[in-house]
Amino acid sequence: MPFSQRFRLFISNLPLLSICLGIGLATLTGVILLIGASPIAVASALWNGAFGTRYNTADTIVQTIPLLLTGLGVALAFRCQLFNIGAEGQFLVGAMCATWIGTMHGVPAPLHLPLALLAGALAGAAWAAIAAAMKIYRGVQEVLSTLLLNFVALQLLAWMVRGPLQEAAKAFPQSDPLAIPARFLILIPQTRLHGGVILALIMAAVVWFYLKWTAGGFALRAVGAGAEAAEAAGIPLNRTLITAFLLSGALSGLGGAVQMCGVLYRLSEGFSPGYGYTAIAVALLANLNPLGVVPSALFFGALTVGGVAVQQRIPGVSAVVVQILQAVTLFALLGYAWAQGRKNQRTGSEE
Amino acid sequence: MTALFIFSFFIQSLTYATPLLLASLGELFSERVGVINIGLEGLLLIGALTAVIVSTTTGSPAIGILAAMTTGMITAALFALFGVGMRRDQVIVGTTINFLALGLTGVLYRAWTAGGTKAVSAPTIPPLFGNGGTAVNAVTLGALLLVPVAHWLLFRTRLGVTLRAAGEVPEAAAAAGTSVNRLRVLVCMVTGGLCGIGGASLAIGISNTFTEGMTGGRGFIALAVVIFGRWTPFGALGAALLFAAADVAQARMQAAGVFRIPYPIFLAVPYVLTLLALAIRGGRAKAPAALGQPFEQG
Repeated sequence: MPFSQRFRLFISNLPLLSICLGIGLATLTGVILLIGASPIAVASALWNGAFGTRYNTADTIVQTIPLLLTGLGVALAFRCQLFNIGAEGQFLVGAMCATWIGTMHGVPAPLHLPLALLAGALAGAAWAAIAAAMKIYRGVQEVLSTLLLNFVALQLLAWMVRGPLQEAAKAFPQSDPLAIPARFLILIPQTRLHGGVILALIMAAVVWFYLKWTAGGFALRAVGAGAEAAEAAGIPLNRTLITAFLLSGALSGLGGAVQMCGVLYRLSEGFSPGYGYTAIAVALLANLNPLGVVPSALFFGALTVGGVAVQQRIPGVSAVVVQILQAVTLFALLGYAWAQGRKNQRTGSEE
Repeated sequence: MTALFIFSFFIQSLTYATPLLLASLGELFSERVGVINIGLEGLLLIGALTAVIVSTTTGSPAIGILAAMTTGMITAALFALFGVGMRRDQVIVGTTINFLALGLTGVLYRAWTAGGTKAVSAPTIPPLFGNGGTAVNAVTLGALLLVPVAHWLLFRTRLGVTLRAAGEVPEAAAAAGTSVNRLRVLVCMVTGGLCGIGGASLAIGISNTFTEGMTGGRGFIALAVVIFGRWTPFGALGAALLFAAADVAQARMQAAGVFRIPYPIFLAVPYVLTLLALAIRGGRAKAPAALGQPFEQG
């Protein structure tokens, strides 16, 4: 579809989208009023927390990076109609393997960071490969296997920080800090903004290019549009599914590695507030478009940072208020997709 | 002494299995009718918070449980509206329900306790018999009794046949005069009600309080329970007991300080077992054929 036509379609759907978002925001406002807080105060605390100072803005971007990478992973899998909801587990194993390499002695300094990142991506891909094999050879739905693998990864992490990866001092359930050469450079002094943001943006462009312009990306989209038709057209179904799974896992695993090498430097339990789950919302808000994942991840990153500020500044309001905002956004989008489908049906135009 | 130890271990496992069993029986019905609801975690949370607030306010655990059932059903109705009525992808709708519930319960609880400054001690469900470590309450007993009832309903009644048909070949069920989507919505509500009670049993049967995200993945374990139990009520009972026993054993071993195996590995066992069971039996072998597929009545 040419851009001008797509733009016109977008404009014609704006009123509908506004109605859906409006209903969502009204609901959220209702909840805030119900608990006796001021919606305006919450909104302003949210905004100031996310973008109020240079440090906060940088932190919003820092929170965006893991969401961007895992969001790309989820979007890629969903484009192939693979419901990989295991981004969280893939993120965790990516962080574990990056920590393993990053805390290793005797690695040549210039190679330390690339190797740690590679290890994270490979680990994420390997974790996804389990679900891929189960789907292809045993017909196990990936929704179930990837979800279960998230919990295995969580326990694996709990064991790692008490066993193989525990700090040399053996005092706390955490790893030793990553070697300095295995860390990203800080881009802006006195903030936590690190070089991983550049890598994440490059990955968004790479995934976009892959999906749009390569044969592999075409096969992936074709399988997503209809597995049977794609197979009839000569696209190898299983190979495409495996590729999608591995790439999706690698992106999430890379996300975990970047979080270790860029922000945390040290593995501990509970270091992920559920990036891999939020990634689902990120990918959906972006309509599964890799370039759209960038603003979408920024939106959710801002919500995360802003939510903490809300809890600090407004007594009685919990940071999880942003979870409601996430849910409301998703419900609005779901309702919008439904209403749009009905409208198309009525006017007889194709979706 | 040993006998008493084993007995109290068994009873405690039963108590811990109750929320799992209720949620997985709900999910079992849901999946049998063709709806995959991964929002169980959220439904449990909603039930847990409702039970704590209502039982504290009214002083009656029974009213608390009823209220939890009601809010569970209301939340499930929202799920059904999007997942069945609007035919949106059920996995996505379920995920959204989890976000909503985590946010809503966290915000409401924090507001209700004035930012955590007010101490809450909710009245607990009184034991029917036994005391201390061997107490069994009415919700646990009810959940256990529900297992044969669910089996009978699913496999021995006309409603059960219709229900399973809607999950296997919805076209055929519709041709036979069933309103597939209406049936699915009703079952979703039942699932919500059962999860609500399950959440209540967790909050005022085990923990006696509410904490943000207190379900700790039990809703997801319940999904595993359904699979491990091969979509049958008795299978779900066995699986729920297994998962709960692993949890109790882990807690006791940690308390006693005996670790021959690191406890995270111990906790991972049920998930690994479920994955293995899925891999060995094959996923399509037992799962309802039309699971997760929206249906448009012609």
